[in-house]
Amino acid sequence: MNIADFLRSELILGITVKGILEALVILVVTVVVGEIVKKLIIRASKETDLTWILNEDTAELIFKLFVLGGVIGALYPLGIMKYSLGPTTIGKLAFSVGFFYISYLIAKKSKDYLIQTKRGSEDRIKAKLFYYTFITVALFLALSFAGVMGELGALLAAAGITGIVLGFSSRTVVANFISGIFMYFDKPLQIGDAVQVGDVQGVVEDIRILSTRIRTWDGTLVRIPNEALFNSNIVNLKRYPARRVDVSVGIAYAEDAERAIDVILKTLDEMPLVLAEPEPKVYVESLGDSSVVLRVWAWAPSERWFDVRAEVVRRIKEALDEAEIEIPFPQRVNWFANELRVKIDGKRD
Amino acid sequence: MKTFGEHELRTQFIHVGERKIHIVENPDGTFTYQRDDVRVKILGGEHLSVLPAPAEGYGVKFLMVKLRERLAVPPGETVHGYLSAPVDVVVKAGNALIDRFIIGREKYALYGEHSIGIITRYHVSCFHEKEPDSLGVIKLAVRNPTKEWKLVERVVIPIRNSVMFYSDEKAYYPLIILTTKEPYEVNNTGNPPDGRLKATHRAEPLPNFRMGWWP
Repeated sequence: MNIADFLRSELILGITVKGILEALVILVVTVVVGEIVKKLIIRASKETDLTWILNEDTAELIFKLFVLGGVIGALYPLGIMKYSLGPTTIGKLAFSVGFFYISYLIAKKSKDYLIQTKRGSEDRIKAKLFYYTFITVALFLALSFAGVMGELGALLAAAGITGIVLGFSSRTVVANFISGIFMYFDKPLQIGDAVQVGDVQGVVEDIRILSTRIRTWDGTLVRIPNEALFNSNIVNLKRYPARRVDVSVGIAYAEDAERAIDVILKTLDEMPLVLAEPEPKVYVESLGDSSVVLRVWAWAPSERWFDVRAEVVRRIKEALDEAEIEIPFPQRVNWFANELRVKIDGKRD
Repeated sequence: MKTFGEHELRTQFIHVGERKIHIVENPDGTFTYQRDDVRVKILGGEHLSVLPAPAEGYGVKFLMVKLRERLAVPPGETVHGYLSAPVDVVVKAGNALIDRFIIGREKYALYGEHSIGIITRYHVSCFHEKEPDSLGVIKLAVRNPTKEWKLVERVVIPIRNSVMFYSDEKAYYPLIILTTKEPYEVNNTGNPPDGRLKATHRAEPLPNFRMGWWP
């Protein structure tokens, strides 16, 4: 067998050696070119005023575009793209999926940029409106590229009838599924987020089509149906970079509150993970039954919040002890309406 | 006394700021590295590298240096000066990282808004005309290309994976250029502040950082 015959020889499912080599070359070339372009953009970002467009994010986006193009391009010589899939082909489908993915990345980057540069709440709404409009147009274009727009109308009509039937028979499953889709776009939580949903608190392990799984702090797994999750108040504990530690401390009425505040502020200043900005605050919150209650606000990196809270409480106790500032037990002064008479039993020598 | 660079493997103390590294030669010819609670047995080699690293602390990407006095920069001018800066220290046996620790005061801060800000390493420094006496130093150029006076209150520097430079006694960040064209932009040039210094490694250029919340 000569080389030409070897290259034309079929390995599996019509894929030839030549096809595999061509696919590899396309993939390698696009990845290498993508990497070079990425580095050029990063380098250019240092010498231009146009950093709003020429920056690391753009470089990463362009690199992904090259890789995606390479993967789709590599599938052509393998002959996979010509296979039909209903009214379309795998090639058209892959192209439209790639087109939608890149459109999604561009829309997301534009939205983030708009939110970062214009900080009014109205601008945020405009940015989100732009994002959803862009995504919707991209979706219809992608469907058009895939060649399924004609079938879409029939599909929607069929889906309408089918929906009625399914709605009665499997309402819960469909509701969970739809909620899962809405949650994907709304993104109230992501895998790895620390969240509280109702009574459940822990880390999001997985977000599936019908349910979301949360690993609780004590190491159990809780499965929450997406519909229930979507209708719940979701508290995302790590969405923002900083989170406040709130602690109340009671000191005796005899103590100097100003001095106690200084001692606590100094203690907080010595703790690395208590953020210098926003500044910690300590103030007299109330005059309690047994103590003057001081309120401590200290900001910490969200991912270290629990450690910081535990340390803040411990070190404030130590610092107040060291400064001989009393943290009193609950106590009560009783006044009696009538004079008390005390009778002592026992013999006297 | 030499702090940064290669140290011969023999029984000795190496002082790095307020920290102390102890190398002990064992009877079997191996060495034990000790620093506070960290202990590593080194089975071969002749040298140990003690090198400066960017002050990433627990893993932040930026260093915010707040100036003790704000700077007022005239239009069209470029001023040069120095800042003191925190540094981390890495210790390597061959290519293996055996220890990483923080020198001096460790403090962090939020730069920007509560919802989209970033956690940075935090340090307060004067703007010195001459190199300060601190272990870590930043050479800063403030460029004002605009036609107005500009105020500078803080500098937020991208430091993740940044190259560092060092002499025997001190650690230096690359030359930092702050351009006061709004939004203020910080360029970690990757270039040495002084041609005589050694570099920790060959690094890729870092993207500029736009200080969205200036001055």
